[in-house]
Amino acid sequence: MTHLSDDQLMLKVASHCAGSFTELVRRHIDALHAYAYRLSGNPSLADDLVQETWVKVWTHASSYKAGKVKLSTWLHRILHNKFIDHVRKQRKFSKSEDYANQQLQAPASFEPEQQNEWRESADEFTQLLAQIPQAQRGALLLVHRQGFSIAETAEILNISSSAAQSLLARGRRAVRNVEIHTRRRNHEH
Amino acid sequence: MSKYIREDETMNIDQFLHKLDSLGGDLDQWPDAEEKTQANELMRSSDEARQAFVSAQRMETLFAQDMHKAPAHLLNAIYEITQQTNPVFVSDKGSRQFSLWMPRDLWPTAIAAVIPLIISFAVGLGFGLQPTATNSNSPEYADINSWVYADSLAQSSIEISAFFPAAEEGLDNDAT
Repeated sequence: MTHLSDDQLMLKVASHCAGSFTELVRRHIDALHAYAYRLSGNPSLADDLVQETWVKVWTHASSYKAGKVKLSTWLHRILHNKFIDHVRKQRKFSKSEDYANQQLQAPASFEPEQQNEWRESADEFTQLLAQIPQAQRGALLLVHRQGFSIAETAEILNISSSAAQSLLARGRRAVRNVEIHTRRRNHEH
Repeated sequence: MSKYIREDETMNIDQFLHKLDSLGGDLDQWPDAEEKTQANELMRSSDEARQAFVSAQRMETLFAQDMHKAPAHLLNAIYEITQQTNPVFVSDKGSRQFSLWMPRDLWPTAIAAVIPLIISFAVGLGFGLQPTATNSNSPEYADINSWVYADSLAQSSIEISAFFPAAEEGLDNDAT
């Protein structure tokens, strides 16, 4: 099973081969969860989004057209759409402060010491992402974290390549402005 | 201010920042060799350009080095998806064709909408509330038919007066 390509496995999943499905989940779950978690800032929401994405893959495998887009692109697009649906249901969630608050909640199963360690280790990247608008955050994550090209990012976000390029440029500028602001604040203190 | 740099010009800080935002902090990915040279020259002379470049590289490293892993419990939950779906149900040709017409996730809603209709129909039958067989050509419908299908207003008023003679004579029923 492990020697088969993603597209070959998807053909088997369309025939409801559970083994092929399991192999695909094993290959892509970390990347998908990282995207969901960094995009939403909420570990339990990330779990839900990833789970819903795989349910969709299992029930709609035949709608994947091999060769049209890479499987990872298709998976990220499903997940991103699930996230947008969630945001639309909870409009206020798109505020960056909500992102920061939710992101800073360590898993409840952690001991207090573990929670502190978790908060410190996650802090820099967390704080940075929390201050970037959601759409720009998505584009930055897809290109710099997930390794997608501009064309693939456009496909996932369902926008044109030029719009994706523009989002990415604005995201980079936003990150730089956050850094400058943070440096000034640290210098003042 | 133009964001495009002519070959005989040197890159200024605004042009550099614009390029940095558009193309990223990896100079090897910049397509224009001349722009790369000009960017390097500017960074040698400008603290602001140098800081922005370091910041861009640092951001990209931060993203690329994020080693997030999915929690183990999620893997188990997703594997259970295949167990929860009944393979006989899924492989059934009829249900697959039906699911093409109506997506599976709408089935519960559709079933919930149909059940009250079936119950109402069954209750109606139970109380004998069914339409009776009638023949519109029977004599009891003759007058009504002639009125409904009357060709002219005059004929209609004749037929109406047959039902209400007092109205034609201009008599007030209450006055009598």
